[in-house]
Amino acid sequence: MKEKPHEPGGKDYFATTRWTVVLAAGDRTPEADQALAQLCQLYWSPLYAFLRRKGHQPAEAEDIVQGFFVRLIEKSALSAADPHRGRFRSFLISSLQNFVANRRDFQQAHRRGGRVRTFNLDFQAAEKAYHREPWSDLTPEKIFDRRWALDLLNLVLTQLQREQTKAGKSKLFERLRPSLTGDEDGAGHAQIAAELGLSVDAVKMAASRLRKRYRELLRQTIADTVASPEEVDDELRDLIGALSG
Amino acid sequence: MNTCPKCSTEFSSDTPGGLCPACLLRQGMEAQTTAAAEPSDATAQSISPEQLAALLPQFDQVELIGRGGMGVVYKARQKNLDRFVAIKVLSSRVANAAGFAERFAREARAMARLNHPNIVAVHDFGSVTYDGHQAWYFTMEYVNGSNLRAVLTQVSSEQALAIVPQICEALQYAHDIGIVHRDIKPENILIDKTGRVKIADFGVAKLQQQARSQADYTLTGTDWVMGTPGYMAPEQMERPTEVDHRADLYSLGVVFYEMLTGQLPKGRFALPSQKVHIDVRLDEVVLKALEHDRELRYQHASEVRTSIESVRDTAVKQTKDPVPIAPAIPVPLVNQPPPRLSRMTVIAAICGVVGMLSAPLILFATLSIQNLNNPRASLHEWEPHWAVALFFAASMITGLAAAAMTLLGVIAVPRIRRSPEKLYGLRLALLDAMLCPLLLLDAIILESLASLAELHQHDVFTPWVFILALVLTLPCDAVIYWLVWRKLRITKTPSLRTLDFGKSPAKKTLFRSSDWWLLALYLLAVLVACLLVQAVPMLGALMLLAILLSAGLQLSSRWRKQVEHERGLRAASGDVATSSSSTEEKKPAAPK
Repeated sequence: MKEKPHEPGGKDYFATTRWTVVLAAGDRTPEADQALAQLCQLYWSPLYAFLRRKGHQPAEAEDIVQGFFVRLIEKSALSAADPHRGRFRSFLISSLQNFVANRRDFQQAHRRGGRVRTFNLDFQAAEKAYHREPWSDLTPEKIFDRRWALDLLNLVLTQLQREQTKAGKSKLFERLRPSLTGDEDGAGHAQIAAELGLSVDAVKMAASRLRKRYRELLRQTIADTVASPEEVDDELRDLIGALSG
Repeated sequence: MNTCPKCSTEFSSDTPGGLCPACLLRQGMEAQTTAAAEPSDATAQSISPEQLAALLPQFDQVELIGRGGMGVVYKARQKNLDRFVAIKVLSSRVANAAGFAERFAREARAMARLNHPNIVAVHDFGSVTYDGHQAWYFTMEYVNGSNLRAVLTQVSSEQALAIVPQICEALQYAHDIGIVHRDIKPENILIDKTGRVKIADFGVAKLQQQARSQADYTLTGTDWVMGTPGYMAPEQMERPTEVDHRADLYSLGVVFYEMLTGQLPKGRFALPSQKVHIDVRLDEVVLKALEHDRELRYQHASEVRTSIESVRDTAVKQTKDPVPIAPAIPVPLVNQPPPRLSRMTVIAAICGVVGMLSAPLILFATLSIQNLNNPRASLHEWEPHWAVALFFAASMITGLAAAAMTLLGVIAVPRIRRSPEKLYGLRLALLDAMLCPLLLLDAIILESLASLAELHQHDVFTPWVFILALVLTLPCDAVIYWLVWRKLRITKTPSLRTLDFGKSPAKKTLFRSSDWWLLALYLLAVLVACLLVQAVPMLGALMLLAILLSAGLQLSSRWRKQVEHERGLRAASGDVATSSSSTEEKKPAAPK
């Protein structure tokens, strides 16, 4: 059981897409631009769901998202953001609201970004996901937060799966995934151990390690979207609130 | 749609790995704590209605009606009394905490003391043993209706004004006997078929909080915060142990805000009146309830009620509600006074008349002074200092009156626009505000006409010039006045949910902030007008005409308003009568 120690924040995009990098760059730097673009690429589908809930048609919502990102990246829209604090999530939604409210920008974006697909975004999937939402009694803001939480989790779980597969433990991961929600299931462990030819203790150990790594990744991913590490818990609380309605 | 067996969050099937997203996120929170093994929470969720009926033989016809964070709610019939009750089986995560039984009994007794028409009555409590677990339950009054969450998007602002005072009454009652709810939110506010509001789950949040802190769910040294994010008072999140009744008032403020605007007041939230068409005085109520510092908040629920009722009672029903929501909430009809003519407008008009009367005196004095200098025409045997004194006095009076009229008019216009249900007289106010600038314009027209006539060697005071002047000035004034009036008059009340992106909220508030601009503009106009007191008699005639015209219009509109008001009152009382009779009709059909 030689497991490589995971250094927190030392993986793939996690080092570069921090919201803090964007915020810290008071002026525009290539790193900040890139970080912002990556963040947008990760969290665009909540925006789409928000717009759809607001009553925009799919094609229109697509145009707005594309146009919004074009403007966000090209223009120094960041100067409009409060440079001191604020989470990426709130920044993104309030910028979008401003963007749509400002008709001139909006129409301009329609012209410039309307037909140009700057970002490669899978709108069909987003539309499907939107229709799966229990949206009848939710406000657009709530839909946004909900989608955000789900995208975040997808991101974390995908990353976790990628790591586990790399380490050759994809089967074990598949079996242990349900335990990520915190369910200690002794009987289940025994069964997994029997199936995979491992000892029960080893399975237990793996489950606890997996949970630990999952927590690290989750907190790290959230930390990437907030201004300071202290805000991670607040953000988590907000997202849980968004999910439990 | 799946429901998490652990936390009863509902989630769609596309969530990551088919796992409950809320539980997944909670794992992140517990990363910093000494992760205490969570007691499995199989009890409440796995009791089916049939099993519950078997466990509690005094009930039958058990059916599941809802799940919440704190447990599962069933509807059942109490056999011996033949009445429906609601049974809430508490989540075992709450109930397994040490010392729970004692606390539960204490809380249940406190809850049973709450005897109020706007609070869901607790009948009994107890525990059943199921599958090796002990499950605690309450039985309480069954409310046939729905919760506020379900109807929130359909609640009109009038209905909100009928709902909130009922909540206040219940809260005041509970606070008086020392019970704090701690989790006021739309889900806990029930509305029965007759429109009566009932608050559920008093004290349950406290139980849950104690259970949490006992079970060592400590989070960075503070107690586990119980309540619902978004509705919790700031101090409830920061120092949950020091919560008092004022936390409920904060949550009430949030609920009120959400009812009015459909959104939660997060961050730097917009005032309700900026989002929907409501009385601006409600902004103050909401803001005071949502004060961060509880010392600055309302101190008693009854104060909230008084504030809201005073707003409601002095407002007239503006528009007919589009559709009554289900369950129909009859809005108590208050006999509001009819709108009155804005006093400021009237004072402004009087100032105008005074100014108009004193204006000819200026001319008279001027002519006298000129005549004194002219030895041939000694018509007036005036002492020169008398004429000079009259000139100054009359100029002063005219100037001041004109200033006051315009100033008052400028202030009155936005006031009338802001509370159409209380004031009327927008047209007169607008005239007050615009008369001086318009006269200035007329003066310029007349002046250029006069110079034109002089250029062609005509006598300035021939009837033809006079008629031409009238033809040129009056329509010009009328058109300008009409254009401004069209822009300012109150358009139809927007419905509660027309918050499209396209409409910028700044548009509505523009006028208020530009009051100062208008004021500056006016001062400039008066300054210039003082330099041009030449064509005074003609202007005086125009002024008189305009004021007479507007007074006539005002009178006719007042008469029309009164008729409409009476008709509206009659129609509204008719509505209530029909809606109550329709609920009466439905009632006997319900029990089978």
